[in-house]
Amino acid sequence: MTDSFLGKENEVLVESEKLLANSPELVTPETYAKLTADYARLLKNFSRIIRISDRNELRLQSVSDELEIEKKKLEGVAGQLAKYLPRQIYDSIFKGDQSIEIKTQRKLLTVFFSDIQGFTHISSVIQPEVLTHYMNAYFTEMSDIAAKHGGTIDKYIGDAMMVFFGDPESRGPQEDALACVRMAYEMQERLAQLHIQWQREGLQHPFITRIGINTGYCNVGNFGSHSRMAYTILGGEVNLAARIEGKCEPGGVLISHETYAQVKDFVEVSERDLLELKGIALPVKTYAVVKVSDTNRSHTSDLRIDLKGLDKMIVKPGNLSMPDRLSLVARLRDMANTLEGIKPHD
Amino acid sequence: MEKIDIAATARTPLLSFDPATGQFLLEGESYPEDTKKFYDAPLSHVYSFLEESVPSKAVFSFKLKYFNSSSAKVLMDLFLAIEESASRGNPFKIEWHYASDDDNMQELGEEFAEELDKAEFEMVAF
Repeated sequence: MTDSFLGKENEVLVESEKLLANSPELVTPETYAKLTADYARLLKNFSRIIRISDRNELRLQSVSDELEIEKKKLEGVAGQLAKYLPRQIYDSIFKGDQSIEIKTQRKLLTVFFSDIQGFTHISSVIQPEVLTHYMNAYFTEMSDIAAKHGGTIDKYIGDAMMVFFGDPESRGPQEDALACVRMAYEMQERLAQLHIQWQREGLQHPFITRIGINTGYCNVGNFGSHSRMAYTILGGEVNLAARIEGKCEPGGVLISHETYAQVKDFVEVSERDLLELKGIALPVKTYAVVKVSDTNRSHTSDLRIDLKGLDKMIVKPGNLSMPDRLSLVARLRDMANTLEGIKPHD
Repeated sequence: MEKIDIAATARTPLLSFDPATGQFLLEGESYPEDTKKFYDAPLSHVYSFLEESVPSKAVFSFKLKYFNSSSAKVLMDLFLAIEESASRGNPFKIEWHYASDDDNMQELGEEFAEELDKAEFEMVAF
């Protein structure tokens, strides 16, 4: 409110001050009575405005309290809703970063699939209530590990789990792939512990999972109709991850060459024969994860190869001096040449 | 003197005035960003009307849901001018409309009514 709102009141004040300063002898009971009347009106208006202001404040407070209650209700509902959505997607939507429209984009992602070996048989021999209990425990444990590593849990499909890295947040292709492989490795380690615990509880059929991982460009975004949509990923690379998972040894983690290329400095792997996969045109090179390291092990890592015609070969360069390394390289080259039918040089 | 017809917005009320019939209406919520700027121009015509002699009974209707302190000052000044005009013999009626469950707006109307002696003041619940 500006002073001009009080133009009339200000006029009375200016006139009175002028009268007192210039001609105080002209102050009469009449002028004094007028001033008093104006003052009385001003006082009344002032008092009324204070009351209005206080009432408005009370009303605002009441509206604010109602809003707070509604906000808490909404947070409660949103919290429940969050359990049906990947956490990262939920966060993006609530921050306003993610638009709710049918729209996709291509992104380099690392995709994870897992399922429980022989689940159909397990579900036919375990009481449904018991199965529900252990499945919930299993998914809770696995989801916690996925969340710890920053994975976006796309969905649970029966006993299978689909997780991806690189969207909506990415730490770069290498870090995303590494986080995924670390997550998978930790899941298998944790499951091994859970087997012991669950067997002690009486569960006769342990949950042994297969895990497949692939890295590649996928379509990611909202798929579906305007009334019902799902934030998910699609594409050949997603299918490849699922196919690799099907070929994984129970209890293992099998990764594609594209994933291996991203994580090779941090993982110890066992190279596998080329796989012929349904729906995939060319044979696929895969690697079984043996160990995951916290530090870059590119100069010291064991080189482990398991191929047809080769029982086992583990090369440990970290233990070798440079002359020994060079000697080993020469020996391996000789072996390769021999294998190709070329006589070794002297 | 022209008719005034200002549509309501989220923060400002509908304001209409027809000098030919002496019908004035202020309806809605009043908390303009600049109260003086919103009310000065239209009310200057109303004040001119109040200075003159009113041919037939003028009805000033107020149907407000909420108003802020500066809008309250505008109302009080307007009621004072109406009362002064009524004191000069001009026939006036003020209708204060309030929602039947809005005690606050009812009390405000009753307070304003206390200040008016010559102008007729009617409380209308809806």
